[in-house]
Amino acid sequence: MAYTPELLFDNTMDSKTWSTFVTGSTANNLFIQGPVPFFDISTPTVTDDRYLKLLNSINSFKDLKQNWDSYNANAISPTAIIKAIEILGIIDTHIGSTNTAHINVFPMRDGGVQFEFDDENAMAEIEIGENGQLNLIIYNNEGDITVEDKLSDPYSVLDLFVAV
Amino acid sequence: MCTLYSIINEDYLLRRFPIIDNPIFVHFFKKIDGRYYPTSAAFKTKRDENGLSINIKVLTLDINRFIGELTSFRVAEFLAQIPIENNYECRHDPYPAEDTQNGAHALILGDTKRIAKKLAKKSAPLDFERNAAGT
Repeated sequence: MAYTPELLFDNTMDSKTWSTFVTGSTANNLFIQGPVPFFDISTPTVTDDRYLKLLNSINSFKDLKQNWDSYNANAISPTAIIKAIEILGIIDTHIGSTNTAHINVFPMRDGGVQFEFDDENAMAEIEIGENGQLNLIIYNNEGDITVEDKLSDPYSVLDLFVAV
Repeated sequence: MCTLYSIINEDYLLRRFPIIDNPIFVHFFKKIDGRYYPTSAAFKTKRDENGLSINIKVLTLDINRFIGELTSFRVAEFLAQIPIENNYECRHDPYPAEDTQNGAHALILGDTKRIAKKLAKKSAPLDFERNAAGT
């Protein structure tokens, strides 16, 4: 099923931020440009405390050993962690403080990383596989999967947010 | 030989969740509008698993034993009705190789990704007092 990028989460993205996005800038004021010095969080400029907290969480995933959940979960792959930081940077840069959805990030049992987005009317997840592949899942209010699709471009996560 | 328990809709099922604050931040719960919800990631089977490990609450006589020395863990409970009504088989699987002391162990058979969000939404953290073994 092809994913039509319906916009899910309301936000009040200002015209300047939106303009930056639509003109194709890939400037990322947050975390990574090129190789990551194994997830050192001391240097990035973080624009929103919520994202700093998420960044801390993502960085901590590298310390999880096999069986970290007591049910034989895999260690989290560096590739998934790097991709998660990239996506967080994209959200911070292009959505930033205008976002009103709850965003959480969790380790996955198979070595990936999962973003969860929740607001009053919508729930979505981005699964980042251990090899860095991206999978989008959108749910209805009952928790049924309504859309599941692979994403080839991490910037597609921006399609989840409404520009109003 | 152990008699297998038949899991019914009204049974509560349990699953452990890590909550680690220090030195790393790993919470399997999120707080939304004042309520804690476990993440659906905790309810998704790995590719090499044939089901999701759980405990049958009524057979779990000592929660502290279920937790063991995992001091950074909590427990969430949910009704067996959720997987059963979504056509998943819940099977008593006592004393599995990876948990040989656990007679209350069970499995939700199959790939649970399809119901992971439902389980997360309907799960609640279980309040219990840790005894000496769990502290």
